[in-house]
Amino acid sequence: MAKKEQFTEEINKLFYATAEMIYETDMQHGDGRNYWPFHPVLLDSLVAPFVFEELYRLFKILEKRKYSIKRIAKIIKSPPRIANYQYLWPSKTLKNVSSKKKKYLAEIFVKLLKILRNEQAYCENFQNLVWSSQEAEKFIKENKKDFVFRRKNPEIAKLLSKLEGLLMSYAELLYYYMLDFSRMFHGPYQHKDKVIFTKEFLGLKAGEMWNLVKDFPFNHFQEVGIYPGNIKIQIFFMGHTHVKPSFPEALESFMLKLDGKPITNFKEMQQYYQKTNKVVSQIVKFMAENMNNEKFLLKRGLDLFFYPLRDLYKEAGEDWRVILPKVHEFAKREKSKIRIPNPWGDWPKEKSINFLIKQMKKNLEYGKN
Amino acid sequence: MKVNQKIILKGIPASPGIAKGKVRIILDPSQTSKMKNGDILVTLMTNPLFVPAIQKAKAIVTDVGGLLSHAAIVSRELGIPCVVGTKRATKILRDNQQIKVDGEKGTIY
Repeated sequence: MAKKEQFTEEINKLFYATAEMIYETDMQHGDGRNYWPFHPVLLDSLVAPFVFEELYRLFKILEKRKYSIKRIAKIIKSPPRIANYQYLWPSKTLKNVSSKKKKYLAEIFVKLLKILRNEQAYCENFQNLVWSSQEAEKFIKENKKDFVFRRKNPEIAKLLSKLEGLLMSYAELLYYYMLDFSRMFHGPYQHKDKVIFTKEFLGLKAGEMWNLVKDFPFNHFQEVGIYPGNIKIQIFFMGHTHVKPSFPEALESFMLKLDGKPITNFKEMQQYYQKTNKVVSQIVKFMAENMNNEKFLLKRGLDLFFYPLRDLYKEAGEDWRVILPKVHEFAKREKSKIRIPNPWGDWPKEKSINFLIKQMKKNLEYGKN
Repeated sequence: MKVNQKIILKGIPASPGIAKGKVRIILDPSQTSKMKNGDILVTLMTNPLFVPAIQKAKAIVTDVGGLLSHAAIVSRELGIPCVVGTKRATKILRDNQQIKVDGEKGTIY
């Protein structure tokens, strides 16, 4: 296949996967107005040109330093992070970015997703394959002694699900509707007659972004769960999952690591749960008190798009916060000009997806030079 | 606990499981202290500010939202039944009413 045709085919797949997810998140059962605390079109429009310009610039810096695409993928680590930046494609403000840069980025996004997902960039077969099957097996083998069995320890398993529920809300407090900047669920992987499914949360101790969470008890949560072979787990392009029966109900055994440290007893997990709950309660209270403080909420909403790129900036020898004043200034100037679309009503899936793809393709083709 | 077997409401099944309990309608996060352990949280939609209420809930029912809404994703982690997008749960249900939530079928009895 000619290079141009191949590019077009890959872009079609990327845009289709993105449009399908936007349909499912924003259009299918609501109109996006249900988002907390802002309509996604507002924040996406305000950050999109900056995120794309910065990504282009950072990739180019690393490329000049002869970083391979695999090395860049390793720095980014999480495929849902890259997938979630695709939400920005329909933003009209992307007209401020040149078509050349956008085409370059689209190509890089696809390459990164393929590397980070073992070639299944779009979660084909509803799998997010961060590990190869050999890596999953190896992990189980190496960490065998730290697995906790639910039947023998029902209380610790129950506490684990409470902790995960809390982290889900915490991720949303930190990253708003872009919670997959933190959440990285991956699998399902086949393991003999069982299923392995891994839940990770990254970037939790985000004090650089929000001072209030600097004392969060850990930065990285990793739980590797073993489930019966008949569990039905589906994972989607942006990182969302569907499961039947529920995870806590089906869980057979698990291994939990917090910042790389295995947690195998109830008392220790309880201490972490209490510390987590304390921070979450504090920020819930703080956020509740500041729900009318639009300036604060907006600043947080803009910053959260750049914090996940911290390691890329670091690799380029830069600080992720340098760009923020420009973003804030742009938001201040342009916020009132962003038009929030009317409710979608009952648009059928095909119509919605076609509409979004058309918008994304227009954004890809046109831009300032 | 006596629960009527008639379907009162239908919505989108968001987290599997069946739970019976008393309805607690919370329209604003500032009302979360109304929630008692084992109540069924009924609300327009949840957001992270509902954490204190969700921690006590046996099940969640919302008026709006889809499979990827906050209520749906959190309840799946907690393993509690959840039905979203019922459109009128907060209008039809009453505080202390005994209901059964079927998170797999998306029905309220």
